[in-house]
Amino acid sequence: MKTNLWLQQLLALIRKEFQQIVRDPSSYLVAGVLPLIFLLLFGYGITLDAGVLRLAVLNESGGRHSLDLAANFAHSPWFSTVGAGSMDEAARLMRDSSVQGVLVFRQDFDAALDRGTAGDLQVLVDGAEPNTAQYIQSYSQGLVSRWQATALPGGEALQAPITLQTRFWYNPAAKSVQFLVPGAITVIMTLIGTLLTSLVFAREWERGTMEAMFATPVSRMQLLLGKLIPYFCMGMFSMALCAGAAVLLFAVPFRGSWWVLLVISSVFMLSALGQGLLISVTLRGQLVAAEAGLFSGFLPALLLSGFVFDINSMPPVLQALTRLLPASYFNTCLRTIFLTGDVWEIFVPSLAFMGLLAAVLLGLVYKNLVKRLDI
Amino acid sequence: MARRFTGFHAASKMAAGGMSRLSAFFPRLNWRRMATIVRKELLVLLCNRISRILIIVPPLMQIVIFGWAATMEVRNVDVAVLNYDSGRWSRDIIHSIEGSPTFRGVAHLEGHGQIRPTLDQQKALFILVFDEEFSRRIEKGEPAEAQVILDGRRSNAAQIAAYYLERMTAQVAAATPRAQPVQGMAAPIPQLDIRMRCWFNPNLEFQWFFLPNLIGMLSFMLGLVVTGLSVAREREVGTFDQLLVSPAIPMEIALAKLVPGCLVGMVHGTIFLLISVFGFGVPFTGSVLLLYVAMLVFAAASGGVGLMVSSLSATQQQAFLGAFTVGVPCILISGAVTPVMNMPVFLQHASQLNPLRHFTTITQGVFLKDITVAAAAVSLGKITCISIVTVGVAVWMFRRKA
Repeated sequence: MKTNLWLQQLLALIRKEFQQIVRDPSSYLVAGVLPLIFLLLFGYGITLDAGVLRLAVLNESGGRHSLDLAANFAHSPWFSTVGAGSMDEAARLMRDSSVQGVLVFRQDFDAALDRGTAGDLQVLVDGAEPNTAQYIQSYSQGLVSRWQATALPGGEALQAPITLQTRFWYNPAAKSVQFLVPGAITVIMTLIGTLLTSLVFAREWERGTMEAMFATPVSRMQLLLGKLIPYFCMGMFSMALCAGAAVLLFAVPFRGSWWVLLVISSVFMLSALGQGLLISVTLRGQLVAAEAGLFSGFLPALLLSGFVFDINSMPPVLQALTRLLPASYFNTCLRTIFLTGDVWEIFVPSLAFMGLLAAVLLGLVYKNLVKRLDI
Repeated sequence: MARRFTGFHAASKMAAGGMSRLSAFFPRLNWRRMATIVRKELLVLLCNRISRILIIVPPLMQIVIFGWAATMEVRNVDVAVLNYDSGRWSRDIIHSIEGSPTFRGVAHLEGHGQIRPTLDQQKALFILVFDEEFSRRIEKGEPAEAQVILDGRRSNAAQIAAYYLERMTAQVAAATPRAQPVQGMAAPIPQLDIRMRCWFNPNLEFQWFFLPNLIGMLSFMLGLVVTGLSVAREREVGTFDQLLVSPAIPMEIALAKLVPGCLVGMVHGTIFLLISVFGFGVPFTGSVLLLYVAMLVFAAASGGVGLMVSSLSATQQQAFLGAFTVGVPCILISGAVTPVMNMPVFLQHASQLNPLRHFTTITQGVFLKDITVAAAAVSLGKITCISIVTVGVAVWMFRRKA
């Protein structure tokens, strides 16, 4: 009988919370619109792939070989080229970011090749975008050595002594979409788990409804569960939506098993909720809580989880910091579960850490959720 | 001369007429009233201890942390090698990997069966496989091939690491018999000598790209959130009505609300500028004046967006989340994270409406490239247009709502 009443009270709280969610247009924004925007942006918009690289060609030589090589650049799928009349013009194009690199054939380029000596070719790259610069260097190097081997007399002998045959596992075309979309799910879940919930207790404190709540026989545990369960459901719903969209819309393969995904994302969701609720309970102001949620939840998930920037390349201090970040574990798990399969050596430690963190955070929320006004 | 004068007169008359017509639309603003509201806004923003800490500490933490974290350079790469070859050349390549600062550890695998678990568990970013014939082929002067299996889950980092590896094997390859000039051959085969040079950022430091962009990203978010929330808070707490019954007219209130966000944005911009230049050594080649003019106009634009968002929302939560929904996509398609040119065409066009995109062009330009006056003027003009439109629409929405 007593547990029955307890359950009824809890259900009432949950119903109230759900109604609040449904009535507030901003929750649709976070649970529906934002995930969609994120998925579309990361699916179609943001790419770490090279795209078509724009080069200016400054041909001071103008002979057979230089024209042929320039045409090779122009026709390759990686480059699009424009002519430049002088070094000044090329420099201006670079400064205005109209081109990302300049291909310079010096005056004696063709003469040297015809003489049988080394031709001098310059590739100037706009270093202001280092990622693109590296692609230009690497692609132009490859293009030029292939051209040498085929177009120059006796070029076959120039075929490099050692070639590396590269193959990408899990993502054969090496498309960044394939790992950005699962990564985007991490960000979306953090958004719902931490950002949205950082506001829930703070809002009640600010509006004074918390005081009203204290006057009811509701216990702390019921209060906690009453907040936890609705947002958990909302997060999981969003998760399902995103995972479905990733597979159906963006053709990301799903090589793991669904139940593993369910378990891992539930545990992550609990830790994210713990973080959000802890912020909300301790800070008690919506503005402050929202900013804290933004800076402790969303931005680290975006920048430190390995989503865009590779964790191994960060300085040691930050690498240690990412070890404390549930989002970085979740990100690794998601990529693995989508692209590789069930790799328990990755999942088990991640689950253990996220579970522990969730327990600690929710414990702290419970401890701080005191039914008193004067603290 | 006289003609010129009359022309000037006519022009100034027209301008005056334009002004009076404008003032029919825009009631006269009382600067003293506006100053009072600005003062009140600043007090609200700065006198609350927590809000003070929150507008000062996190952005600074961000620039330090993300100044370090945001890197597309690849370092500390873990590699695994499966070497069936017993000759010297594969060993040479492995030695050069071990000696390189880019690569952290080289694990040696025993057999093919270990490839999958090693890669599956992310113990290596790539696995290098040499077959038995590798060194023998090189000694015979035949082209030899090594296999590299890369982790596609981190294909971006893997691609860059593979490029480093390629450059290292090229050095080893230069010592192979095949690369030596063959004696008795009439003419040596012309070998092209490609000289790569990077302008603006010779060592391709990723920080030099990202820190200037961070200035725009963070001031945009701050402008959006500070301005957006201030109206929503008044509405939620109920003091908005009090503001409306004050002698100040809605437009004065709206414009005054823009000021704190702009100020915070400018102050942070200055701090970021100093930290980037003196803390991280990012070169500043352009004009400081240009940067500040751009910053001011840009802050007005982001404040205008914030005000629009807050006119549409009834609570602080809605305003905050709305600011967020607008802000994050704007950051992502601004070119501050990945180049705009790599995006699909429709997004490239859409991003023209994004003030942050043009501001990013300017910051990158003034920091690294000493941007040309013409290019800067175009971007600045676009930001100005956007800020006029956003502030105009925001004030109009504000009046309607009020």
